[in-house]
Amino acid sequence: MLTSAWPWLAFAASLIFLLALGVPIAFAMGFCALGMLFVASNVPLTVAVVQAFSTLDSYVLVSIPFFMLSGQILNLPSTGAVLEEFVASISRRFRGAPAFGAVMTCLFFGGITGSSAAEAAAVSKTVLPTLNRIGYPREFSAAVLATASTLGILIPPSITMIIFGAIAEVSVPRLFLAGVVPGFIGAATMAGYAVWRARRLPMQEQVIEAAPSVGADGRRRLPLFVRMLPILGMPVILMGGIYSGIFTATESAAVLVIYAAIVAIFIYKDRDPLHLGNALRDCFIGTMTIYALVMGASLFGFSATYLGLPQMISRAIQEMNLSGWQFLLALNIIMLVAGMFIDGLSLLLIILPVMLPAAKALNIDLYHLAVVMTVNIEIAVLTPPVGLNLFVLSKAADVPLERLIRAIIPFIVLMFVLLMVFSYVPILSTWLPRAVEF
Amino acid sequence: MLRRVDRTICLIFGLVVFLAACLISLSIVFRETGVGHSWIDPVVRYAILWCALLGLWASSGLKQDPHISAEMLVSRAGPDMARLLGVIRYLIAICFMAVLGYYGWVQVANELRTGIREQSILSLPYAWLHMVIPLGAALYVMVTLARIRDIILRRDR
Repeated sequence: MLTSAWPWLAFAASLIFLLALGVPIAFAMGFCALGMLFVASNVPLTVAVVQAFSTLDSYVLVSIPFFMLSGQILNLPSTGAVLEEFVASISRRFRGAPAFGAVMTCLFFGGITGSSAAEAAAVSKTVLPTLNRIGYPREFSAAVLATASTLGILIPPSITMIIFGAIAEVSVPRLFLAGVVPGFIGAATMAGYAVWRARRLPMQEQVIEAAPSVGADGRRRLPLFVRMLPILGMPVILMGGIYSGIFTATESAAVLVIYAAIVAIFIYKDRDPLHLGNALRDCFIGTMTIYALVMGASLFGFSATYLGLPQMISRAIQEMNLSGWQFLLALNIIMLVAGMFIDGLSLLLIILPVMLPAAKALNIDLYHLAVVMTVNIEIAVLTPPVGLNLFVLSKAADVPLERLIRAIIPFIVLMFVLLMVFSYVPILSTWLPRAVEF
Repeated sequence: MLRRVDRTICLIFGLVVFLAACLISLSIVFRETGVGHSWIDPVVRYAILWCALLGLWASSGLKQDPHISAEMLVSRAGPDMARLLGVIRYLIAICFMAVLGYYGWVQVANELRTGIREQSILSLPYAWLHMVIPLGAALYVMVTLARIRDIILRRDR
């Protein structure tokens, strides 16, 4: 076990150097971790390799490709068209309603995909064209969608929560519940702010022309709702299945894939093999990327634990006499700064194994910790220079990154306020998972 | 050609994910009807794990590397510098995978020699299951070396 902080500073420096060179985060973490074990310990590296394999050999992680695939199927052109029409119909209600509709669609997508990047990619295809036709400035539309699509990792199902549960050994269904209240508060706040901003934009919304498929008298609203029903059934199956005790989280994800495939192929009649092939391929690429990340992080976690980094941090926190709120403040600052440079999921995989023992020692509720870390990750995918949602939306909306960054700053400030609320009002995260019996 | 193979492999592995979802859904039916289904859980776990680790090599051949990385330096570099950085990043990835593969192989060889541990439900030796580590790493190293050659010969556009 290492007692000095210097080797860890060297480790951090090498990791930053490799990341700056553009080495994928998964490989950079794994490379530094194996290097650290090789130099500073006499543990056989076979043990670390088997440990990485064991982390990946998890039934909980299997749900990730399933959630990704159901999200990809939902993103097929036919299904996307129904969703687009739905957004357009919401957009007719009042001034600023398109922005409201966009946030609500993200909330709905969040209830299916579980990943903010997948959600950002999906809504950029379905919602963005509607917002553009309505006449919002592109950077505003992109900023609303980039921010609202982060709801995907707070609203169940959440890949972030699944990975948190796998590492911290906490019940995933209860972690999902922990995200519900903060998720809805976040959605309401974002929607409120987006509507407020939209009403002040110097433009007239081209509402009627934008949504010709929905009659001005609302007569087509019922048929549209009926067409939407199969999609609306997805979160119901997912959450109903888990919390009625019929399915585990992984089983409900698998059922969701079958259901989504049936809906897309037989109800919306999307039988183009190219579309289905792309969905399968994108799902696999996403899965492989996440598995590689988890493998790299597992090696890092093993190396950190074996060489005593969590204990060192716990000791430092004890010596500094940090209280729970001070620890959370320090955690938020670390994650906000690191999140500017590291992707959200990698951030969780790096910080969680290191901070978990200290959080436990300070009696911080793990459901609360999960929500705080998830909101930090939401901010991380929005903050430059490495903000995944920024890249996805900048490309999809064809807006220069600099303009998008300027437009998104108020949303980031809003997210920061939400982070403070969720950090210091733990009941918002802990009430539901403790109240529900299943 | 290689790129087309990579895309096909990704498609096949995506199909495995879909089949895994079918199996898990089937296991719910089996459970409700009392039919034994304990083999489904490990089969699905290992199938996806094998696909994910074997598929690492396919990612290296795709037009856009899907692995998450910070592109700050690369995006600001000129074409030649970007090419050099590309070679360096692949070399580091190769080093990591080679070390991983080597120690994975040492582990597999140990397990084959002792032959004691096996996965209880599938009655499969762990050596076979762990075999994916050296196999995936070896494939990744080979394909990535070809990728580096393409970058050096400017055939990567």
